[in-house]
Amino acid sequence: MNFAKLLVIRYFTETLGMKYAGEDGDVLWFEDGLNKVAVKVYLDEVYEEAELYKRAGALLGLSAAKVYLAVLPDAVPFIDTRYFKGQGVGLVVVDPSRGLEGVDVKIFAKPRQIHAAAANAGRLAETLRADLQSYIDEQMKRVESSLYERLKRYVDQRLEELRRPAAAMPPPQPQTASRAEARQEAAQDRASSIVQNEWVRILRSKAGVQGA
Amino acid sequence: MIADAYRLKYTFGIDYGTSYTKYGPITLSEPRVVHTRGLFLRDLPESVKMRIPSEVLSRGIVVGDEEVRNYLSSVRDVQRNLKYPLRDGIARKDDDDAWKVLRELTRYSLAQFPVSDPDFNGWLVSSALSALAPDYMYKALFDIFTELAGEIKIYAVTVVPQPLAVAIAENAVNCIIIEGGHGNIQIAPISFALIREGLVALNRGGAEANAITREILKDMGYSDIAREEYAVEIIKRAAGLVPRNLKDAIRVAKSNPERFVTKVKLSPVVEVEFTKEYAWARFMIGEIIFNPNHEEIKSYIDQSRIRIENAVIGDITLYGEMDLASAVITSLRSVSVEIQERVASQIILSGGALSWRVPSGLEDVAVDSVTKVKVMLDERNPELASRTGVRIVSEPQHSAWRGAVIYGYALPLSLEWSDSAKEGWYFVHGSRT
Repeated sequence: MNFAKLLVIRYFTETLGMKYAGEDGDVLWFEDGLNKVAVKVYLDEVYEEAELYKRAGALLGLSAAKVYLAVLPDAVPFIDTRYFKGQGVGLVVVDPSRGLEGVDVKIFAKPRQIHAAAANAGRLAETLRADLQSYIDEQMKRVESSLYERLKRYVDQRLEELRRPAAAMPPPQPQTASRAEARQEAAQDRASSIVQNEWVRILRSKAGVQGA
Repeated sequence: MIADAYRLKYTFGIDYGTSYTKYGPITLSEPRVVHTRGLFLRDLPESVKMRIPSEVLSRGIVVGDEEVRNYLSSVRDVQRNLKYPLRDGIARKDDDDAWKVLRELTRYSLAQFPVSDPDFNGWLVSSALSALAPDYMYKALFDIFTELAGEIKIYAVTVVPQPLAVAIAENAVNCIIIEGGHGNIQIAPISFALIREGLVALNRGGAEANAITREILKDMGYSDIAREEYAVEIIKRAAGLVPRNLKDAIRVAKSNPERFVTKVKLSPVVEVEFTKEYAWARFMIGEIIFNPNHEEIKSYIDQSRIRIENAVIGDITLYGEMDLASAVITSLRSVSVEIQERVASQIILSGGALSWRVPSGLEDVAVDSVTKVKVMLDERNPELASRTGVRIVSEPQHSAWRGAVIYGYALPLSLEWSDSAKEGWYFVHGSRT
């Protein structure tokens, strides 16, 4: 996948917290809660003004709650911000040389009314049914997993009670080793969850800012 | 040169809460917890002095739950000598006793983790303080660490505001943190850092819910129990309800009071009953935290000694009567318009005052804090509510400590403490080695 496109996906998912829903041609689809967000990527070496506005216009035809056009910094001179703001189209400028920090939302998209008129009642009912079904499935899974957890806890507790008399005897060597390993694993998990925290990256970047 | 591996071992977090101090190194999965209080060993009979270790006696103060209990009965005037140093997370500048307790608590926390590693150069201490803490608290805290560095190895110290620490623990970069404490509620917008201009504080919290519980108990004929703070706290937790809508909830509770009658057992011999006549009053206990502007609550306030009014700490006004949804909107208005939507995308609730449960069978009228905030926002600004996700932190007691240690691990050591930015490391030996 194109690196700049990858940066756009990372920015929309990691920084803006949206869910990546896939791509369709040169349009990347994200889910922001229940709303769909479309980002059309136009990352060419040479930009044509007419083509730029053609693509921005094409975005308006998509059934998305918000639409963005992602371009490289070379396209900026051709951008008429009044047009983008007027149409409610968002603008993302990607500078791949600066990595994730090179992704900048210059204009935030305005929320749009999706043309619901086209959707007939039947389709609406079907969508509703599908949503309801997925919600019920999700809830069922949750109940199942909580039941499983409770059952597991109960079984573990009973097993622990059975083991307790045996605990009076000196514990066999391998078990001690496995416990130490488990402790080490837990410590490693903790460390990796700390290192992967988004704030670690943000705070670390302050060193560069101060040095500049 | 301090490597990451070192920081993953020797970063130490201390969260100075009004009621509890949470502390421990980064390697712990959960912090140790101790009451934020100290007992001054004054007015001791000579016979008691003889059995107290001389180093304890020379310091004249003990901290730690077990240690305080050991000496509590020996001190003649407990009221005067048992000191809670923080009120609403703040220690007064001229309150010498408070600062003595905080110094002793800090020493106590660090001393529990002796290190024999020859490569140990000292702790990187990350302390979490109230976002309302005035500048002198930062300075006084650094003085404490500088003083302690003589006996405990400390490399550097930093301070992180508690709401930011909560956001870090929740891995939320853009959000609004609502921290509901005993004395106040803080609404703090976060976007890659704490936006101090947007900080809004409310001068009410768990203490006001306790106060109205006390008044209800008095009306129900339990004046003796109402005097005990401990009992009032238990009753509030067990019987208090947060209504989806106060008027509707009271109407339902008055028309069908049997559903809302409850008993709270305090001990094998003491039980409090919310009878049919007072069952509806359970909703006022929860509502006062979220919105005190109701006739029903006001009439209780007028008859009682509860005071809900504005207060000022440093340059921040703590609003008494502002409802929680208005506070969120006021806070958001101080945030740059460009990032408002991003900041408002998630609201994270934290703290004991926002921890409410819904008894089964009452779901039609009672709600938890998350739902209550959503409902209130929807009433005030449906557009904002539709774009905002509300959730509560997974570990309300530990999240500020967890955030503090992650902050301590991540903050670059090249960043020296700046009084204006309130950020960076304070190197206790003056300059970096």
